[in-house]
Amino acid sequence: MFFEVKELCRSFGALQAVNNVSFTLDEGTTLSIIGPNGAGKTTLFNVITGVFPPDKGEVMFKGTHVTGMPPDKLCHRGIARSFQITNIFQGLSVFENIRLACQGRKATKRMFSHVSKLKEPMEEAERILDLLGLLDLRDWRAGTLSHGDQRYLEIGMTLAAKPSLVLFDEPTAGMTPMETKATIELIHKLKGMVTIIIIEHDINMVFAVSDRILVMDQGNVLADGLPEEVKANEAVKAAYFGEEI
Amino acid sequence: MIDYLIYVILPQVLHGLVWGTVIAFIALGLTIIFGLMDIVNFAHGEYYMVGAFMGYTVMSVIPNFWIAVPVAVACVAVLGLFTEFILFRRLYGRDPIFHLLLTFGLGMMFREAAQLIWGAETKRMEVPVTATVELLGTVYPVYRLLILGIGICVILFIWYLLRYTSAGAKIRAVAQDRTMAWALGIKVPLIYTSVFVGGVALAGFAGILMSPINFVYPTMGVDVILRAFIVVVIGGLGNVMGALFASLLIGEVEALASIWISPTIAETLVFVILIITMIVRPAGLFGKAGER
Amino acid sequence: MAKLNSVSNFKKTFLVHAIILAALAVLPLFLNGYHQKLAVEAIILSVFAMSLDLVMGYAGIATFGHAAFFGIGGYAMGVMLKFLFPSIWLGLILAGFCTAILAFFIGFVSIRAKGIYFAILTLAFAEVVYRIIFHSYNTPLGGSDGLVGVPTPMLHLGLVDIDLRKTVNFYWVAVAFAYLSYLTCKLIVGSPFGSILSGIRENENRVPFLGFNVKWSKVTAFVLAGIFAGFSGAMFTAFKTYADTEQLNFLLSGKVIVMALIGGIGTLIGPMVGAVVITIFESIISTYFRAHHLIIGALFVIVVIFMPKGLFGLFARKDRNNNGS
Repeated sequence: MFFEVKELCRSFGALQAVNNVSFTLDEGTTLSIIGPNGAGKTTLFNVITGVFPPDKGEVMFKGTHVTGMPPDKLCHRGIARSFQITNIFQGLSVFENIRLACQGRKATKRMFSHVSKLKEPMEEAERILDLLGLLDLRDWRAGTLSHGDQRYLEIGMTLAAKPSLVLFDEPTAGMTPMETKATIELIHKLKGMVTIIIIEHDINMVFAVSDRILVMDQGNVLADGLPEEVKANEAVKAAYFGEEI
Repeated sequence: MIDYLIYVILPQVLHGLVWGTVIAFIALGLTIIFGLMDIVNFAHGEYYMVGAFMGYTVMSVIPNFWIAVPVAVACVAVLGLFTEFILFRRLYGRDPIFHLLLTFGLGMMFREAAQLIWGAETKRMEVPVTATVELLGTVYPVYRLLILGIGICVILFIWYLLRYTSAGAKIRAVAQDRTMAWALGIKVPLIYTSVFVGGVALAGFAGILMSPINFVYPTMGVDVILRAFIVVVIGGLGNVMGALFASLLIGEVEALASIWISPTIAETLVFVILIITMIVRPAGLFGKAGER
Repeated sequence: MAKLNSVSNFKKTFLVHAIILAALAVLPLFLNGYHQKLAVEAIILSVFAMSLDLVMGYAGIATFGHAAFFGIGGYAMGVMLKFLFPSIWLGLILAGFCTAILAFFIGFVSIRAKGIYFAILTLAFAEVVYRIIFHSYNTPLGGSDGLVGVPTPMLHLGLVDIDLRKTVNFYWVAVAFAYLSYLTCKLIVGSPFGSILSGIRENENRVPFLGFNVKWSKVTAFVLAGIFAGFSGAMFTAFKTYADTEQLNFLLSGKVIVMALIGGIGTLIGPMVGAVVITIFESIISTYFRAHHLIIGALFVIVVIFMPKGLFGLFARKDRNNNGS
């Protein structure tokens, strides 16, 4: 199994933020996690990526234990994530942001030669900026970009580590409809190249990109299946979709 | 064995209590000022020093300690008001490292000014109460017990002020969320100023109270501020109960350790306690983990 | 196009460096003995201030105990020259070795504490070092009297031997020392490792998700800064022929921060200039005023209130935006 979460639990005081969550993921698929605010989606990401350890349960990646492993080690193994609240290096240029992210996988090699002489990360950074359409803005300070461009940069930094599993936490948060559309296209480009887990509120996007959908509510898994199955699920309708669908 | 306890340990325990109380005076001001306005006041010890020197000056004109105390405290309060008004005001909301630097420079200025005005040599002050009292057979100076008594009263008063008065409620509200407090009509700048003045006046008070026991000299503030800092950090920055507990801990450790090892090594022991605390609990004994 | 640009940039940089070095080289010919001595001190201290910039300006970690490394470097040099072997080189090696170990220990223990807690913790460590040496009366270190009577040996440089007892000679050696230190630090901050440090300064929480270990990066930066501070302290002792506890004092830790801030942190060259400016300023006012600390203290206050980014900081921001990478 490529990626597997087994009976993961995490509570904060009396709040059971993640309760017995299990799912598996095949290589190359895209899984969306949906659910109302406070359903425990971001906490699930935080537990998977080692921000804090789980109370119980395990996370397996490519057949090895990665439960509670610190983020930098996970990154070396090929798991990268983006953040719901833009989490970039405001004072560095766009290019520096991406290049720093690119050098992460090979952090130990040639640590003290000048950065501009490191061919691989330089070219890789250019390639990613091109993919995101940020090439024109390469020398801008990241903090001066528009919200949407900062969101793209956030995605770019996540991809720069060349992960085989990406966790996107609401990549379209605060984006305009145009930008959201572009992001959907971007995710389509990424599908097949990497395995994706995505937390998303935009229902159109969820159905446009997902191979599978996992619905969470109050820390529990409410449903897990193909998009059509989830759409038909009565419990999900009641808890989440309301009368919209 | 009993004799050892009474004649060696007991006086040192009392010394430790008195010393701890004096450190608490300074640490309380320091930690409340930090908790409220995020200011790390490295010059806090200099207000202690100024308090002692002011007392010394008043005593040389009117040789009455009980007149010198309120005058010295008032002088320090005015000095505090003055410095808050022209300097500290500009620092609110800036990175704490700048506070450390500004107050570092301010401390330098105060020390040098004190040296210019009063000279570098140490001064002695008469002990106002020379009586002694017998406790379980060991003789102990009444003046030290008086400091301890005053200290307990002041600490209880501060606790009452913060916990049960409307002024205290306002201070706690500002410490929790200054924007919200401001929006609710609390005059935040006024609270800042009065807390700062109160904090440094407390340091000045400690300065004059200690001056008959310790000597009076321009760098006396440095010795005490390092300890107060340690106490505040061990207790968790901004944590009043933590500062009180740590003051007594440090006072006792220093006093008791100096029975068996030289006082200078006992002093270093204080730093070692700090370092160990920081390793075990990086945000202080009573601080919440992950804070700052 | 980009390549062409970088070649001409390189030429320009080379020219600027050559001019500055030439100016520094001929400077002592116009100075009297006292001012030459002052110049040597200023240059040595500039390396100290620059070393602080590695942690404060690049990694964004405020440390308040940097004098510990300067002082220990000084004592290491003193011990080497006076008791072990009269060689500047071996003195530097010992200084680097001692400060590296000390910095590793302090950094490793303190790094979990953040922000102001880290600053106070480093202050406490430095104070412990200060007190231990201050009270070491019966050891060769001399306690509060300091380690005095350190001989100044010849500097063996391949075929030539330089007599360092001549101030002018020491001056040129100091310039070379400062320049080499600057180039090395420039290399460090321009390396991938330097980028990680900038990342930590800008947003420490994101860095681990890019595959870097924040803790070890910080400790490494702290150790590197400690080593360079140790080198400068060692040179200081070799020049002054003594090492004393003033070099370990927390006052010096504070002063070096002001030096760096005045020059502008995050630029390397800024703190160096700041150190020179403060050293000269202090010497001037101390000849006119007995209470020169009053004015130095006032200077601290003014710097913090009116120019938190320093003289060079103002230019540096612009510069960075133009260069991009």
